[in-house]
Amino acid sequence: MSCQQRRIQIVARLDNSLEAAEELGLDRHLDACDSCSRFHAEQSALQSLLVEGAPELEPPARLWIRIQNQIDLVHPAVEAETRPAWLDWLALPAWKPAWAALGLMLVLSLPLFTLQESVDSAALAELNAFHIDAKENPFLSEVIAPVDGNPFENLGGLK
Amino acid sequence: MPQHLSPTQLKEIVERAQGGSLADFQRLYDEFSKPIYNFIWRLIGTAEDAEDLAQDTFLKVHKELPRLRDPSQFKFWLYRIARNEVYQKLRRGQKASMVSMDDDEVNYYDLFEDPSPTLDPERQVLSGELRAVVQKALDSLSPKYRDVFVLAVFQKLSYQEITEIVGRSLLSVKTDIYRARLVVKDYLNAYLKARK
Repeated sequence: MSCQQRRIQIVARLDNSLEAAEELGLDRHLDACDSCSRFHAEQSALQSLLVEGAPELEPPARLWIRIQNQIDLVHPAVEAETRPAWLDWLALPAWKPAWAALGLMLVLSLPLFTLQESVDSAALAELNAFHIDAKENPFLSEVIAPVDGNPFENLGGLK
Repeated sequence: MPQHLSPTQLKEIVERAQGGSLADFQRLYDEFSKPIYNFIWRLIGTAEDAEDLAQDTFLKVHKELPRLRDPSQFKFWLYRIARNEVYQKLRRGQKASMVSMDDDEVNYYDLFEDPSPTLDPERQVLSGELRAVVQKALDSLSPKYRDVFVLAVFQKLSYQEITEIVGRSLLSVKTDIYRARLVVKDYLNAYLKARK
């Protein structure tokens, strides 16, 4: 590998982008090559100088206000926050295990509800069979017995 | 000071912002406004233009966010939009209207202001001499070198991340950063020697 290719690796190392497999080869080359060692030292010094000489700026506070005003102008209705705050709170990732556990419990308990329902139906049928005689209860017989004559005549009504 | 978000948190916030939540969009702004503002500032050279372009960038992000297919790509997508805004501004200015930014034959130096512009008062106060020289060194770089150099050295992005933003191969990114460093070192040689 040429010195220029090694110098590309040196720069990549300073930028924390040298691949692990290249580390050892580069170290060996630096031990053997004075020119590349000097380049490494110069670039390290340059790195420090750049960081010191060009600190970051804070964006002005008015920037967000400007952006928000523009959004409000373009999408006044769409952008209104309609979701209540408690929904955001419930949507927090910390709640995820609780929601998962609750869902699992519901799924597991579903057979219990259906089983209980079938037991109740059977018990009711049994009660009907034993304690309500269809002859005594006309509403349970399929055909309602005809009534002879006028059931109201004794009351002095219709003839 | 924003808390830095994990990839999972970021993805969830992007998804909610895609659904129209302004609060979540503001969280994205809080997370990325400083790096994006500084990225633009280093590319364009003036704080005033950086503010305008950062505003345009975030407005475009807000508008296009519902169409972002993969929320985990948000960061790269955001940087690409910011970079495009800067290039469009440069195209609109000066004699750049005929220039294609992807053409290596183009003289990219024509796109930027004079490498030795008069510094605005704000920057003079804030930065001092060394800062001005660093900016002058950045100004001297072609856009092709300048964006990858700024992303690697000042934004501290990995080369792999930079390839996602600039859409060039890893080899091209490595080589361009190396060449940019040689140019910047020449500009700052006097300061480097003074340190010895």
